Amino acid sequence: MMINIIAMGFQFPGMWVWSVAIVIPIILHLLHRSRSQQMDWAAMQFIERALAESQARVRLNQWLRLLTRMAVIMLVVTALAGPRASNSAQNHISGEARTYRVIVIDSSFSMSEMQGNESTFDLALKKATEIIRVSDEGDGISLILLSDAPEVVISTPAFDHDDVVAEVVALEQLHGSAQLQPALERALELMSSDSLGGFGFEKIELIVITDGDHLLWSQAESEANKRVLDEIRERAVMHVHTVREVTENNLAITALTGVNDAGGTGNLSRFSATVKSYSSHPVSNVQLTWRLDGKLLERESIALQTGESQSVELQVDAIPKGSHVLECYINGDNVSIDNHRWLSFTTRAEVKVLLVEGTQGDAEILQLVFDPEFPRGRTVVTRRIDKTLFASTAVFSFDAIVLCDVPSFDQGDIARLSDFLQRGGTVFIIAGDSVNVENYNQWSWEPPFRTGLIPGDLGGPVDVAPQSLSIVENGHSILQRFDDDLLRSLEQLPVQRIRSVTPNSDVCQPLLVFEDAAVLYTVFRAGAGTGFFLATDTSSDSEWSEVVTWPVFLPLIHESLKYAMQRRDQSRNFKIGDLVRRVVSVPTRNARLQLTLPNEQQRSAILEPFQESSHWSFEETLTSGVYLVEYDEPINKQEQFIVNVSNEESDIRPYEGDIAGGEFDITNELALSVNAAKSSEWYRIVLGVVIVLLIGEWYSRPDSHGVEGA
Amino acid sequence: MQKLPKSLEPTTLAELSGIRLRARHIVDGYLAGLHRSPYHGRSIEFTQHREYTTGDDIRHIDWKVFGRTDRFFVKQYEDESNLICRILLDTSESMHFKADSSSLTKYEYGQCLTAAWSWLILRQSDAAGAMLFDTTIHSEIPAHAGSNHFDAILDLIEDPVVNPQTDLTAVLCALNNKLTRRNVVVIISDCFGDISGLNDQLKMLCQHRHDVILLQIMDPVEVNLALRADVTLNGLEQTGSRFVPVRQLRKAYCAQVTQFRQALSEMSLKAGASFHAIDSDQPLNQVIQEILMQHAAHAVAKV
Repeated sequence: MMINIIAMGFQFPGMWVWSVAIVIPIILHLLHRSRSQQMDWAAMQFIERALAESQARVRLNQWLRLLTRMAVIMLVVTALAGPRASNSAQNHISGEARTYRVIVIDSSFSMSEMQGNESTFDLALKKATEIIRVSDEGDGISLILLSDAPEVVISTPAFDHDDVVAEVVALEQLHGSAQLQPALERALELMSSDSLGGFGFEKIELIVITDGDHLLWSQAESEANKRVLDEIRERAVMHVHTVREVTENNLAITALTGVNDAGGTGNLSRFSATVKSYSSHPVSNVQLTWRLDGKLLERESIALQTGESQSVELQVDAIPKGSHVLECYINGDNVSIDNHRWLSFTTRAEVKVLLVEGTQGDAEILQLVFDPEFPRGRTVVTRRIDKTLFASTAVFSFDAIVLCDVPSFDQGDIARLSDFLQRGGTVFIIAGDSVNVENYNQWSWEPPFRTGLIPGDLGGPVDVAPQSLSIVENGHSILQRFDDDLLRSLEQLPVQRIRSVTPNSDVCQPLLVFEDAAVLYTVFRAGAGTGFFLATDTSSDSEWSEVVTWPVFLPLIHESLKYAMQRRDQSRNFKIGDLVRRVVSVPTRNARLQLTLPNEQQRSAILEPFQESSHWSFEETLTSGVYLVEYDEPINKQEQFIVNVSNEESDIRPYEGDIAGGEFDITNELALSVNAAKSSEWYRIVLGVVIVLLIGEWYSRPDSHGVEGA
Repeated sequence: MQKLPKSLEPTTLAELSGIRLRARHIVDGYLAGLHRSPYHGRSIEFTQHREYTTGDDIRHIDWKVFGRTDRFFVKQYEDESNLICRILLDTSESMHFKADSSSLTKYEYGQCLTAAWSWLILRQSDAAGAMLFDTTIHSEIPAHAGSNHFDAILDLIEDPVVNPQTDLTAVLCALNNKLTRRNVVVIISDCFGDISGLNDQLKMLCQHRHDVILLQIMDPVEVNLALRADVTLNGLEQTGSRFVPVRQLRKAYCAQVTQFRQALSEMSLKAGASFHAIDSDQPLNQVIQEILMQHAAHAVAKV
């Protein structure tokens, strides 16, 4: 019991370094003896006798004085270290109970707003550190990072507060948004009696440290969040520390895209960046900078009205063949994370298309559709082969494979085609009269990565009513550049018979359907690749349709191809929180790769074999910027991918309602003031003891009685 | 010529350089007006009368002359200078100790006492002699009467040879062997060192009917260990060095000093000698007055 009462914690344990000063009295004592005044003395016989008589008493006295001086130093150091009574002592003295604190730190990118020389996130970390420092020794602490997917940094209550502070200091600002409900639910789990059964806390506190932005706290108005908050209120006392001191305006680049197909070398490539102002007043002279592969391209100044979103276009001539990173940024506001955006794209000298004919000559006209030798500057190179040659063709050297009414596939064909799709290839499946339905259905698509190719169940031929075709989604990227005449022409495609198909809803996006819902043309996605399924015959002499000679068919095919190429490029462009999954064409097991994150941190991953390729995945896309991938042997190459912020947090206006319905205690000072009072009591005790010891020391000085000296 | 101060405070005496000036100051400023010494010789052969002065023994008043003349005369005898006083002054190293706050060393103080005492003896036509000692009596001037002898005594004590050690017992033993006639023996010393055999020697001196006066001098800082801070003391007379925590040791030290002086006092009393513990900051006149008064009573008691 006594041990519990005298146990204490310290607010500034680093001050214990000064406890080395305890050796000073010892050194002074030894120096005092060796450097004491020398004096001749006649009556040594009395000195000798007196020393012999009172040796023990003198030694005891000297030890006591030495110990007193050391005690004074230790007490001063103790006072500097900020003593605080432990929980037990606090309980004993003030009746307070041990507390479990769940500290939730907002890590959304609005917390990157600079306030002087520090970001709001830095201030949040400081506040968390202060709260931990003033917590009593027996208080347990857990830590949650509030983000898109809350990260529980410390789940089991931690009692070593230095370790907790170390964890807090190591936290990094994330570039995503924040979801309140999952974080509160995780906090609730930590507070549950199952989690805390053995610890015996008598008090639970939930402390949320945030900038109080409206995007986060407006979520608290939802019914689901209210329910969670009600549950928390039943178990804990809640505090919200709002660390944001100033409200500044924000600008953001909300989009960066390629305007044209950005594929052909020697072409004029156009890019567009969208800059949005979240400021409450007009902003002028915003410097927008463009860089390509790190080299400065252009810098221009723009002006934005309140709430205005402005597109700025960039034209670049003759970008060399290969992968490139276009970077666009503005400067000059307090939230820098959304001021930057990157785009990874590839320029190609040519797009290679392999046409596989089920029946020789069936794809002759189709070949001309793919490679009409216009428009200028864009070259599509085609090669037409018979199905029997497919197995021996190196398919990975092509960008697209067109399967023209191929009757059937074997296991090897499907594996190669599936692999080709996964690593970003494009596959056109044209199902005409030669198709073996049973065989096709054998290879129906099974997401996500199992063997399969056909994106739905096929049936027999079905006659369709002419002129009943309609476009499912006018705004689809493929149809974005179609004018009204072309769209009308598309709805008038001359189709009489189709292969009935029930598309797999998970991966298919039907584009052209008949009134009876029969699908003619659908887009499907497989990994980084894109597939297109046309449910009619395209041979020139077919009775099923005449689409291959219909004028709008050519732009449809080319826009589809362009869309697929863009998707392939997009396989290197991600958003914060996206899962990155890459397939490389070299089959290998346990080969390693090294990832360099935008913040210069390094991660490693291991390639897993996947059919005739290998793949790896990475989910820690929490920072925006360029990620560099370096593959070890046997792949031995480099590539880059991009992670951009989602801009959801760019609107950093503070939440104007009552945070969490006003149920939280919004404060910055509560925990500190309580503990400061506890601390000051100890300071007074320590100071009193020091003064008493110093008076005793002064009184025991040899000349304190006014004795005449030599 | 240096102006003579009027006080016999050690601080005042310290302002005068050398024993001669100090002696003259003592004599002119104090001793000249002092009553006669209680020590004087007694002779069988009457020679003359002398007018009575205060301090003369009333037993020597010639009442017949008083009856004739109504004036007091005392009788003087032929052999009045038969009193011999021998002053032994310790010259050892410990006697040359002086604290910073003190005016005179113990030896200088002893010089003054020797000068005063010898002058008192010589003034009444008795014989005075002086001996300097440490482990032995190393310098001596025989006892003679006559005022001229005063200078000889001063010459002896002025510039002594300093020996690091003392052996008072051995000195008294040698003195016992040396003295044949009855003497007044004045011993001026701090008495530091081994005093275990001192008792016997004092007894022997007294048994030989010598009047023995032991004057033990100490510096006041020595008496009280009145030092301001802890100090390393280097012992004189080859007694080594010791670090002394002054505050803690003072009480025990003072007790030792008191015990030592008490022992000397008891030893002297037992032997029949008289003992005076003197601090070297005491005014010389006060010390002399006390000694004279005490020994006047002592002499009466003896007679």
